[in-house]
Amino acid sequence: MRLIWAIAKKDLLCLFRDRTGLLVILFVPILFAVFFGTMYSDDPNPTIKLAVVDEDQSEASKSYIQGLANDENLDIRTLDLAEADRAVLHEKVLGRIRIEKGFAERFLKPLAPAPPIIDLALDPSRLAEGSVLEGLLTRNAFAQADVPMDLAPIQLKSSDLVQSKTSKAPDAFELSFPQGIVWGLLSVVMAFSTSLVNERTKGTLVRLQTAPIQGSAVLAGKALACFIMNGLISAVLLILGIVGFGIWPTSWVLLGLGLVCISVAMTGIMMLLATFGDNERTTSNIGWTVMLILAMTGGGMLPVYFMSDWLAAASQFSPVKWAVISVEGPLWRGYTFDEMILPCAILLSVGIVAFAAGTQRFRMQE
Amino acid sequence: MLRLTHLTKSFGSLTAVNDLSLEIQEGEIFGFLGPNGAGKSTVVNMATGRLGPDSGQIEIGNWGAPTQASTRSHLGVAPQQISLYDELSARENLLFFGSIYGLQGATLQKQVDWALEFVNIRDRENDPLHAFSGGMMRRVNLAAAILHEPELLILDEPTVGVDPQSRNAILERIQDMRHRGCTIVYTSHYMEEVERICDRVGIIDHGKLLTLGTVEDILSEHGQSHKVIATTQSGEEHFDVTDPAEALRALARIPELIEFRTEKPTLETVFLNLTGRSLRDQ
Repeated sequence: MRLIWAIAKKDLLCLFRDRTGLLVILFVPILFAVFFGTMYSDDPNPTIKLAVVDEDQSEASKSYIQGLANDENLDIRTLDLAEADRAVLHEKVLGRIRIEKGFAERFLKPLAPAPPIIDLALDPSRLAEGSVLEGLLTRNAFAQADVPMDLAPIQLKSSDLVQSKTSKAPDAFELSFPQGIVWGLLSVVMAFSTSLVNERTKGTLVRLQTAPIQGSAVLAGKALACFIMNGLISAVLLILGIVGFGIWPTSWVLLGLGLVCISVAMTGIMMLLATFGDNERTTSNIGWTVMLILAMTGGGMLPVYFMSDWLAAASQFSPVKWAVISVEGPLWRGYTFDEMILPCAILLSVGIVAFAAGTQRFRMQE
Repeated sequence: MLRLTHLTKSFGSLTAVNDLSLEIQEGEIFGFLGPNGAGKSTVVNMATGRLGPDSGQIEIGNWGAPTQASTRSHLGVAPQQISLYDELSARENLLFFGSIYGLQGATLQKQVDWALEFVNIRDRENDPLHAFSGGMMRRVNLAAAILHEPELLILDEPTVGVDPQSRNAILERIQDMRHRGCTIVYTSHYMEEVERICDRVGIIDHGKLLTLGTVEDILSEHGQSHKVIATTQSGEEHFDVTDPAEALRALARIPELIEFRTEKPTLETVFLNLTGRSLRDQ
């Protein structure tokens, strides 16, 4: 027992001496608790954002829309059809309804042959919330009837927004693969972030520093290896998705562009993370903590729309969010080149700034 | 081959190297000695281009300062720590380090073959390094420093932790390198190694060069007199003698003498005399 206790005591002593590791052990569960606690308590019934296209422009349609606007569960924005479709594709709203011409002639008219049709298009990645929205739309229609009605006063017709733009709707795997790819690239970042500290602790960095190459070439070589590995992982996952799960992007060129930009961002982040910590364990601990924070706030663990407003606003600063968008956009959201510019520009900026900061820190450390 | 002129390097308030000048001749093996914290590593780091001096100059041959990448192509370094990738085989390690030194194609393969042969690792060249013994790793560490056949080779304690056979093999290879025309700077705490292979020796302490010369010169300049140890029935008696003939006459006068032996001054005693006996790494 004395020997077992001696070994246990030594292990605890080592753990307590590794302050970064100890901090991670304490910090990560607190982070999870605060993150999920905030999500569940901050706004238990989050407002559903809905775009409304009023093609009827009648008193009845305006009245119906006003009813929706008064519903505290809905956040309404009136747009034309193209703007509304774009808002759905850009995840600004959960869906859009289109009130077609002739709505007034059928809405709450007992003698009408059928109730008016409202065309509903949902973000394909958020279909689970669609039934809640359908319920709210129908409830508001009932609320405007003066007398109790047996039949629903409106008919909801679900249309596929992406189908109309890209000739197909995304399946479950196309919805899940973007996050899979981004997690794959985060793993590559973690694998490479310890390689620099490995060079230092193993002494191979001394050999490289005394060889006829510049320090910047050493860093560039590491960055290139990380970039290539990012490309390989993306390619393997895509091939798996295509062959095994039938996914097919709406634009190969834009998907390639998105993946290149993500790889640049991840490579820069790797270079920066690699300069933190003076041994492999510390660097790994710091790296995983940072990655968890970026993934949590960027929607890599739970979609951004589940987040409260302030967390959703904070997600704008997470490269993970823009990485997911850069894959989803050309994979099934039907993004155009113009629509890819913002996420790509953000990812490239993150990559360049992080790489420069990492290089600077490395030089200072040496 | 290596000229250090009025080198000074400080870290905060600590002056690690203080106005040190030294010239290492082409084709010699130069032993660079000093206790821990004497400034030896700082000098080595400056000579290999990892550190720049606060003042003074370093020149390697006619190629310039080692802080220039082009100058470092004439330099080979075997760090004290085994500085290799243990996931890779010996051959893969050498192929990588050779390519870093600008070797490629058939030349690279030829030099790697030569270096593996030189350190006698050829039969295990494709084994991963983590399967190697300490002595084999040390030999590969040396091979990685010499495979581009540098004009100047800096070896930082290349025999630490190896068995006598490997140590002997490494020392023989170092002497072979000298015969190939390579200039070698050799740091070690093993004085007998330095006495065995070095043409000249410099001892540094507190950032200053305390002495410089051949082992014989240093021993005659700083070594104490010969010592005679006589064993009698009542125990051992030690005599410092300057005249061996007089010592023999004195021994003859001891009636109960059982045996006697003489001890020459060694580099180690000189080193301790010059740098003191207090521990330096506390």
